[in-house]
Amino acid sequence: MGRIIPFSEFKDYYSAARKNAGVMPGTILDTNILVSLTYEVKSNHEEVVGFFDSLLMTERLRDLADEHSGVKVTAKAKAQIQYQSGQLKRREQQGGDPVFNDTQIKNIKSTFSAGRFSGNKGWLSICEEFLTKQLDAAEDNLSDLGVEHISQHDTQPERIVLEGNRLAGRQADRGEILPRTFGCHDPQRISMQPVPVYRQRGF
Amino acid sequence: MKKKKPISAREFHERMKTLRERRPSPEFVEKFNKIMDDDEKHEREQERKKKVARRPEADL
Repeated sequence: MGRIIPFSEFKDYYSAARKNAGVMPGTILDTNILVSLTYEVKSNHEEVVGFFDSLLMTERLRDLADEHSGVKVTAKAKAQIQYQSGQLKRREQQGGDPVFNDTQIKNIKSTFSAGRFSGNKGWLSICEEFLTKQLDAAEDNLSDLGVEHISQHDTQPERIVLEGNRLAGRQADRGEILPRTFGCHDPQRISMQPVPVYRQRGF
Repeated sequence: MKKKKPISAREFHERMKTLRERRPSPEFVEKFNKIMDDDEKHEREQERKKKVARRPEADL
């Protein structure tokens, strides 16, 4: 888990980091990446997709609980979303990612489907609208960016990461910058380096 | 086939931002609300049936 550095504090953080002998010049590639470190780095494509899935679901469910959403959500479902949002807030304050975990999503799901005449029809329509379409679009965007999900069996992951990720590739001229930036020298861990780019809060 | 020129990080950022800010489509809102309306109608109907069943004359 990286540190959260708000933009307003970036200057101070940067000047302090430059005085720190343990920090190499050039390890900060871009403020996008800096911000992205607010989320825990995932190590493979499935985890990333899972994270993005949870992120979209969390944000959309919280939107549904808003009285101006225009969507008729039952009082029970709304109360459950609000309750789980409270739990999430506490977890975020302790440094956790701002996403509902599986248990929370299951609890919310049950208020949309259990004992309902429609069964899980409502919940399925939510999944279709919020996940299926948006995840496909996110994958397309990553592909258009030139990000390649490399195999863990690839023998030269760093080269591919640098070639595949325009954001990092543009500003990094040394292969070791990426692992150093993410505090990790294991090529498998950095193979999903583009991931944090779309995990930042600022999107 | 010639490889497509990758989009810029800025363009990617904008696209992802738009994606996350996307509002539910009117079709979804209509479909979802219809499901909720049907549920409510069904619940009301069930309540009505229960009330009828509780009346003394229902035992006759």
